[in-house]
Amino acid sequence: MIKAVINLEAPREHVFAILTDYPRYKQWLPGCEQSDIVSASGATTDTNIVINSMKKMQLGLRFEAQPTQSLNFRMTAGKDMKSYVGSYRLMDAADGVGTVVIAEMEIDAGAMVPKFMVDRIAKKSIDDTGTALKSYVKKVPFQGGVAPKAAAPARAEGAKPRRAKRIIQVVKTAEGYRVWMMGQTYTITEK
Amino acid sequence: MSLLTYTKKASVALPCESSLPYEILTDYDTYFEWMPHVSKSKLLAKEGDLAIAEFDMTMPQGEKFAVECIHTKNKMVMTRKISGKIPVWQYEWIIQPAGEKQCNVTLTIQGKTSWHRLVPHYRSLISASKCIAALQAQVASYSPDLAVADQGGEKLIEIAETEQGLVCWLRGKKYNLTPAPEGK
Repeated sequence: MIKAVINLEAPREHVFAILTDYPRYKQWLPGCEQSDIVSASGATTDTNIVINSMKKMQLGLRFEAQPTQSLNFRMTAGKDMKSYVGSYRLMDAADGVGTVVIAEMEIDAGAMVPKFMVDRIAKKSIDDTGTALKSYVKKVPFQGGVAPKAAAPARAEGAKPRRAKRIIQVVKTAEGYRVWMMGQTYTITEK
Repeated sequence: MSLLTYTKKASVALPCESSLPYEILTDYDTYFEWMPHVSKSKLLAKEGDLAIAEFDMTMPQGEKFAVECIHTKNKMVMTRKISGKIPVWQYEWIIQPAGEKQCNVTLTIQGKTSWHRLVPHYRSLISASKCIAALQAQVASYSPDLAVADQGGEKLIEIAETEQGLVCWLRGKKYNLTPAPEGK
């Protein structure tokens, strides 16, 4: 499974809206030439996607969305790959603004293509998708209607008083001086 | 263990409550203070017992790796690599209480055998004993029981970082340190 972390300067609702706006994939997803919804039922959407990357491929992709939480996808039709599965998991950024997306992807191109090669292609694809998503998120205004609420910084959630941290200590002993600094102890003796 | 994977394990007994190593291990913004060859560390996102963090390495300079972390309060911290070249899959820190103000910490590092393991800077990151020693040193900064001064002798000077800022004890007297204006 190839994974990547994508930092986006946009609220989670906005990022989720972009990821689930399947017909507009061709506006930002690298190599995407066509993206049509075939059917939709509840959180499940079947699409027909044409990707022109190293090779032109036509895929049937099924997306399963958990609003603002995650988006899973898997190949349901296509001749060029044996399987293609992945997900986007969305989390509020710890600084209180923005979204962190954990992208995962697994491609099985069949026995004829070595796994290391497929993984390399998948890694490039996931990185390019992250870069493209970053710039598209900035370009497209949030269409949600309701302004996203400012997320509380994640670190404030469990905030508690910080413990006192010793930095340096010098102690005079019968043998000389003992210096304790950032976890290391040094002894200074007179010559 | 197969030829393609490796497992490294190390343990240490610490004279402190389980909560202290747990707090250090889940404070992702301060890993650069103690984790070998980590120059920057940042918590990216946190939801419940899941956190995403990103670390910069000192060498190779500018190299980053991202991890996902799962916690069980005061018991376990598991860190799995999401991206980056470091030859590690996961770090698993197990914290077990061992009596009053005592705990044992065991680190298990698992990864894939590759030539990256020969790079000196990666070697520290995949050395369970070095990581455990680094944690022990960081714990000592917070736990007076581990500090050398408590073994006897006259404490001449001590500087500590507290909620009130930097505090200095000089021959038993306490002073609050304030930053000097630039260039003075």
